[in-house]
Amino acid sequence: MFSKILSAGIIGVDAYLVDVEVDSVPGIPGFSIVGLPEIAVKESKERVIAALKNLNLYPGPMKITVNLAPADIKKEGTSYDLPILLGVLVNSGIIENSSLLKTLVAGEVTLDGHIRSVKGVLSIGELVKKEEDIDTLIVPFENRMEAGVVEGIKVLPVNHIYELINHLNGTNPLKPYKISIEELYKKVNYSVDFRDVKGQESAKRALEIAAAGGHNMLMIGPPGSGKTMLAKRIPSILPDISIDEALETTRIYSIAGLLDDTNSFISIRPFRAPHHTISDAGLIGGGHIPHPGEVSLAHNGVLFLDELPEFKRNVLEVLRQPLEDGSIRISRAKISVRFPSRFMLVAAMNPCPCGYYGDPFHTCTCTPNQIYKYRAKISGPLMDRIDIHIEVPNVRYEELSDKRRGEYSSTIRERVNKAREIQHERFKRQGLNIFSNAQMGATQIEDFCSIEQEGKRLLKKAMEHFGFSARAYSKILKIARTIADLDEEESIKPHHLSEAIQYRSLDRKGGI
Amino acid sequence: MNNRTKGTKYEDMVVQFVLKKGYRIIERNFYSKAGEIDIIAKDGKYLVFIEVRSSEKSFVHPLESINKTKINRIIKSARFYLYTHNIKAQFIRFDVVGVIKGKEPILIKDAFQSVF
Repeated sequence: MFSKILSAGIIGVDAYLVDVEVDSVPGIPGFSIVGLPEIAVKESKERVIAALKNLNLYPGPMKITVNLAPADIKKEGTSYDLPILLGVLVNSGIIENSSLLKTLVAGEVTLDGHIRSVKGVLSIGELVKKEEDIDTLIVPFENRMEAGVVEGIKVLPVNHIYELINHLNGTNPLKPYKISIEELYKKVNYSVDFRDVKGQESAKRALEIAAAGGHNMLMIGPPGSGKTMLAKRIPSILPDISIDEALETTRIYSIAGLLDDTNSFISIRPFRAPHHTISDAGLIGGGHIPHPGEVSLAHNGVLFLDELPEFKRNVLEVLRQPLEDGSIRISRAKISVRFPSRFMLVAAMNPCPCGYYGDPFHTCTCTPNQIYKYRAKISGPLMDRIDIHIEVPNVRYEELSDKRRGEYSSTIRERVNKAREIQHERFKRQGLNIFSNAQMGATQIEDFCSIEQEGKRLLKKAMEHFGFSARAYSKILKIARTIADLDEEESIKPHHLSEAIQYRSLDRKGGI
Repeated sequence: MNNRTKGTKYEDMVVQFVLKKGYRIIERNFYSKAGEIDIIAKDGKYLVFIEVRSSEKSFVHPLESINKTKINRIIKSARFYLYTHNIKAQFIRFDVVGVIKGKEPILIKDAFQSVF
């Protein structure tokens, strides 16, 4: 007896069709799975047989062959359990083949017949939507929301095999599940607030500018000055995430297996802070069958690298492609996969190995050579990608004990949203596919960042005095553009420029 | 009594035991270059290859005395039997019966399958 059940596999962030072919014939009993299955897929056989036996649905010993077509693409994950089990049931006459027409099935099976969640269901739902000959998707109950947001498909969430059999036999049909994105896209209350941070008004200002324009930023300061505390609060002032961006992010998290019942849809900008012992594969993605790395989990959000010089040199080098292209391409022998990875980079470091260079209250115990070596750990090309450098000095006692507090994150976010809106309009009007000032190239800088005589004079003076390079020049213009946007000013004024110049502290001769 | 005779005595017991369970005996002690099969029987639609495991000691479970090598030899012998008797499209099963001295035999249906 032969049956074919439709299922899906994941490559990168997209799903592709997999035909689960099940052949049951008399002969020396055995169960084999072919089609380049990885270990978890091979183990399917144990789960499927145990479940069938426990549910009294085991058809008795026979020779069962399962082929996962296309047979030359590596298959992974546990999502093939359910389609395989259904194939066996069709072959033994327990369910009709016709009940699974135009239906795609995915799910992990437990030894007692329950159906557990699997990864990538949102992408699978989008595949079903795309395929004309498929209109129904059977998924584990825990994955119902990811599938439910996809328009134009029928989603049937299931908890247990018996439930599914009863549905397929018409005894007790399941109700299709639907949910609107609006319901899932809830307004989030952040548990942290910029108000928690005492003082550091200039750092907060720099962060506001970085958030508004999507500029990468580096914070330099002694230990305990609040760099990490500030960084953790960045998500609370980032511009609101659009629905398309939320879908994109949810798709990536679904494939990474990071969604669950409480978090079935990502409606806030992600904030990822990997430890500096991370490997290059962990940072940009990889593995036997490529999986998203931290840069992709930070897509549409923030990647925070604390203690930047502590990261291995080769790990920082691999950041170049995502920072340049907004995506990362991982190649293996047979396949090449592209993961999105457009994020705002925020990094923090000490000014020197001991941490106190330039600090008025502590003596720096490093030799100039030590300081030079420490700074040199971060390559030129990486520094090139960072628009804003600021110093975050230690907060004075007066500021710490001051009862007066700074602004709420929500106030800052309102300004950031407005500035971002201005940027969207600006680029949309010209039909450009960029969304923030940080993404501007040379042409856009020329088009949108023109300055008057006074401004030109100011810049010339600064360049000569501080020894800025041409690279620094264009960055200053971009930052000034964002500052002007925050000011809701059409043209860039000299005071916008002078503030922007402050944010290139490392470019000044001799560093800080 | 030597081991050979002891073995045959236990096999006789098992033959009686499976007959009572409704099996029909086809052949006993099928020998081939691949190995040997203790009992070949028919149980409904299944052609059953039965392996008899006996033990004088009271705490040895029959299945524990079978290892992968033995299983592979039995399967190989079964294939040989099917080939030489031109049997195709037949439901097959491997059963193991364990006999412990002084106790009722234990039957395990579908005791193992081929791992290919």
